Amino acid sequence: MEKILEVKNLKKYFEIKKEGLKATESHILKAVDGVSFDVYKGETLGIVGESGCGKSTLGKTILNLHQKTEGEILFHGVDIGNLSPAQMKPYRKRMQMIFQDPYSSLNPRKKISYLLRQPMRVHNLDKEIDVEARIDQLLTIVGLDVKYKNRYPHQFSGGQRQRIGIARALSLNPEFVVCDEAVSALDVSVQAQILNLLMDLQKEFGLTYIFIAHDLAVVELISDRIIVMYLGRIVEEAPKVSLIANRLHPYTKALFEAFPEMNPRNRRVKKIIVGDVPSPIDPPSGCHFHPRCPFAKDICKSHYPDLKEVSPGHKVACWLYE
Amino acid sequence: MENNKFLDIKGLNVSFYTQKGVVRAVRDLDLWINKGETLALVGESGCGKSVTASSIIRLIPSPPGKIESGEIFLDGQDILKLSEEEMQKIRGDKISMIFQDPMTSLNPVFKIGDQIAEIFITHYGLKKKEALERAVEMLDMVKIPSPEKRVKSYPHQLSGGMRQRVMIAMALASPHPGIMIADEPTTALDVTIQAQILDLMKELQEKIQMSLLLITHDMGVVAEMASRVAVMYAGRKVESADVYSIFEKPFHPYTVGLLNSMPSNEKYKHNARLEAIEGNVPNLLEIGDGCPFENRCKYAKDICRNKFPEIKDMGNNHHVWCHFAGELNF
Repeated sequence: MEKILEVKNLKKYFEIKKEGLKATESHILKAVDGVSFDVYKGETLGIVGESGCGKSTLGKTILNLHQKTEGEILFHGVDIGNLSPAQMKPYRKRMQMIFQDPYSSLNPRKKISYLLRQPMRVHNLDKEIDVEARIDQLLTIVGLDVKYKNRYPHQFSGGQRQRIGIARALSLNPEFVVCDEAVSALDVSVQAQILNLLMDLQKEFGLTYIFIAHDLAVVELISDRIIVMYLGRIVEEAPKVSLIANRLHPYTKALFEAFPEMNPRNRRVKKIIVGDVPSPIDPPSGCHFHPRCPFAKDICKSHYPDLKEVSPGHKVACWLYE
Repeated sequence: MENNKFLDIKGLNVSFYTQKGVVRAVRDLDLWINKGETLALVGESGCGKSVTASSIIRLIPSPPGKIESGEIFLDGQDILKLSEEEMQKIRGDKISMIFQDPMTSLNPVFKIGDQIAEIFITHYGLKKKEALERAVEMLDMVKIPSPEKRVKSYPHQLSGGMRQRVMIAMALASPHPGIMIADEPTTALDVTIQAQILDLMKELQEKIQMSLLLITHDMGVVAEMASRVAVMYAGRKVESADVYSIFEKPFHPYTVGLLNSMPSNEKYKHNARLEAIEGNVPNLLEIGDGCPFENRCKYAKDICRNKFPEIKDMGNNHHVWCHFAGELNF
């Protein structure tokens, strides 16, 4: 399988300044801390984790929307993390993003036709193709009536706005799309429609997705492979089938165990992990999960385990599997 | 059976008078909850579930909102007939409420201990010092670690899960906790924290035999918590039954659609494409007297457009509002 993206030891740190009356304290927040993985053409790679795990920062850093702190982001072999904005431009066209909130990602003062035309203008496609025909085509692809193109964003429902966001992401014919919580803000019945749409579009246009979400069922449904993150690091990475059959990391187990099942007869006494996710500014030593982990050993408190492949494609970072 | 109903809503109609017209947010709603029972009120945005909750504690902003008609019996007393003063005594005593975002329901400039203590001062007439001691006990009860220290925290110093625990503590601090209304209590929380909070609510509810009205859009949470379920759509109740019947033998096309829309539904273990409900929720301003689901329902016939169905009893307290209930094969 063709790799379209290789991420190697990627780090994204933020400096957090706390201004006090006398002194300014400065902390380093390690949002993404040494993450490596590959993305293959035509697949959907799901990234799950709870708030503060770094999944959204990771998505933005891969697209070079955040300047990386360290590491490599190889898109078809080219490290895009080091490119100037001008050098980056041709790559931008090939990689797009769909955001969570269709309310804030569309300019409320512009008509839909303008919002869809703009990416094509920026990339000078308006000289090559019939932009108006393309706008009609895009609206049809995402299941919106062409007559809506002269409306403003507020005239649409949440689901329709997300369709517009998807149309805009597709307007440049990208090969790679990062969906960041793309269906989280939607009602369940609309969420199902948008998930179907994303899956249909992937088949039709051979898209490659990174699908970032906190909803485990959604990620399990749409992904071919899944990465589980905790406090800036990958704790487990596996093909979906393998992850469903055999969750290895104690955090992965706890996370999926906590997810409510759709069957009232399965209301068993669950093993619920205690405690909150610690602050990423000052994560626990060693394995970041050790204070909440029922299996923590001494080594877990002092050393972070490497991400190791334990069966084909199934990797886990945990001392239990050393 | 009849006198076991702690909360009994009969024929509730709530409207909002907006510049664009009258929005009938809740229409002809009947709902009851037995003592100690958990009723899940399920539906998507705009279905009227939160308006129902606000009606029960009589906090519908008026204007533009208005309770047009109906009765809400709480422990045998019609609370819609009470004066505002009498109602204030009931809020935070027999009825308490927790919301999706605890940050907006806690006062950011007061320590959480003081906020809990206020309940003991108002409803029990305790002195400040005793009230604070009780506040520590309450925090301990909702399993907040080192409660003596935490009473001195401000809301922003706590995590989302901890804040929700504080809200639950406040709800339980009342002298006669009868019913707790929980409006999407775990929607803003991470799944591991959600599991903790749901677990805590279950445990405490059993301990003090309190009724729970759980408002949610998440069928997983419903399966986990509810004894009975009422499904609402665009202001109307469309189906109600015990939790097993709702999941195993739903009769309303919307309930079926809602269950099929959940990616965690077991039927999608092998087949990825979801059986989604097409179309969008109708604009509440434009709904007529027919079935509000008619425009998205693949079984809809002419009668559905013109007339909202009568209640159909499917046995075992399973009620459906669909002209074709029992005749459809899903």
